[in-house]
Amino acid sequence: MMIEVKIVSRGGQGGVTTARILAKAAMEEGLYSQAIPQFGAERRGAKVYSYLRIDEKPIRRHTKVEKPKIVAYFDEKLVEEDYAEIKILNGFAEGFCCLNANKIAEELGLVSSGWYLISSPMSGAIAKVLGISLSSLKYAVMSEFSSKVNENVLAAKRGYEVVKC
Amino acid sequence: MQERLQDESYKSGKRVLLNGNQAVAEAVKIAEPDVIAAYPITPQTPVVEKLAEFVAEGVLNSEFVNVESEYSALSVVYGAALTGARVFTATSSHGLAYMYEMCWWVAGSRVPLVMALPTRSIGAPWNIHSDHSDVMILKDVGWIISMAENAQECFDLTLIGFPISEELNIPYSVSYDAFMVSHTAEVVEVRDVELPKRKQAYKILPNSEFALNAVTVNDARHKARKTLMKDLENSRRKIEKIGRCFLGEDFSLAEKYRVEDADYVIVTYGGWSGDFKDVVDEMRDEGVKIGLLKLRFLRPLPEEELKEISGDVLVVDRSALYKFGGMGGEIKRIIPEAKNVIAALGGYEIGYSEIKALVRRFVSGKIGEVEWYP
Repeated sequence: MMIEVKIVSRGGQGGVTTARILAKAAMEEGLYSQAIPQFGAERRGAKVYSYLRIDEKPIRRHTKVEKPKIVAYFDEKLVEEDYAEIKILNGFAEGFCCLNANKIAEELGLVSSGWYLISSPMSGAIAKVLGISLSSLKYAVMSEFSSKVNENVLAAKRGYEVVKC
Repeated sequence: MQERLQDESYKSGKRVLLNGNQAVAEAVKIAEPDVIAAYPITPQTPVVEKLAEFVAEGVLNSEFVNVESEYSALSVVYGAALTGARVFTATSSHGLAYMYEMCWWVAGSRVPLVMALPTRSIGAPWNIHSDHSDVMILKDVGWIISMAENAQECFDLTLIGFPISEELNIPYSVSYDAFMVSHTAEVVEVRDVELPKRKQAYKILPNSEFALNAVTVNDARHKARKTLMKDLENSRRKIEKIGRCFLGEDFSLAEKYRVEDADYVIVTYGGWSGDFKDVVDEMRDEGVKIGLLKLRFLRPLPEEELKEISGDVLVVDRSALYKFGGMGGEIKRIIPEAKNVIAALGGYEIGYSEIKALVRRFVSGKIGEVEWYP
């Protein structure tokens, strides 16, 4: 069964990178995957959608994800109406799998121009929900970053461990 | 979570996560062109950036020429190709329009080269998104035009483009949908192959006594164009022979998907083909005899496969020429009863459910000779 994930973030938070990390981690698990960035004018601070597909067989479709099973929100103000089975939130609210990704990013110095870079902790949380192994996640994070690699690996691990549903 | 895949596809080759643009760059790296010249334009820019990175890192031994326009990009690789160099360029949309004159010069001069063309709308109104308006203006210039469905085909069709173009002495374009394929990262098997060195038709060097493209009178231009058109029309066997050599025995100009006993056949090309295949599978499960023919090449046109298909035919286009979509009009020359849909120009997003609804309308006989969707 194909699993589809929608990632709702602000331009600069790392939503697109999160989709790539998870696609790589799924590939490392021996699965097929697809990371789809929002097409067009991504701007810092603007609402950005990215998508992830994971399947046991090659993924053929390329149109946008319509009915994601999982939705991840990178900030409480981004939450919108959805019909997802599982919702993940950077923040705390009823009915969500929650974590404080900003705090993890701050503690590890993953901040740029006042923005918390939360692709790694959020990847960790989503990977946990997806059932992706920690070792595949670490591999993906390491291959995606060229600076602050250890901090990002640690942030992903913390996101993986602290997310609560 | 799903079972881990433990089949051979996981173990064989080198599986990496690449988007369409990166897959093109990986294939170009294997081909190792002597000269690359390109001017950046959305959505092609990452191809150029990646290749520039390869050259800077020293993993690709190519002369990278920074130019001030697309017209110069194609002119530079044209000149280099005449000296016997293997060359590559890439563009999109307005960039293609800007180099359009040179597209004719390289075709008429029978210069082998490969150009990546992530397909983007042409303004006005201003639009950076996907449709096939740009590749349609290149279609009838005298180039070989391949059209990739996904990142894997971006890699494969770029790789074989070099030997094909050099065998036929016809320029070659690998086209793929903007963003939907160019920016979507997927699992790609980077094939471990070596390409032969460039095959030489002729070389023009400073001491060569060779006049190219002087002003012609009488029959010269007529003969040149006639020969090019005939060679392109008859290029199918050579393209397939090279394709099979590098990509496997089932390679062909068009992919036949569940068409054998089909009462309904959808003709597609490019990034939507996979969505339509998923719809075909769903409707087959419901008992509808439906199949799909994917055009992997627009030039040469896979006429044999088009002539073979039976049943009601729907051609799905993402561009509009006069009255019909980009391929609909000419496929009607082969299949006069074919229906044609012109869908979602300029990145207008349609989802899988809308694609399914479109196919259902076709199967229930509700689509006219040519329709816009939406």
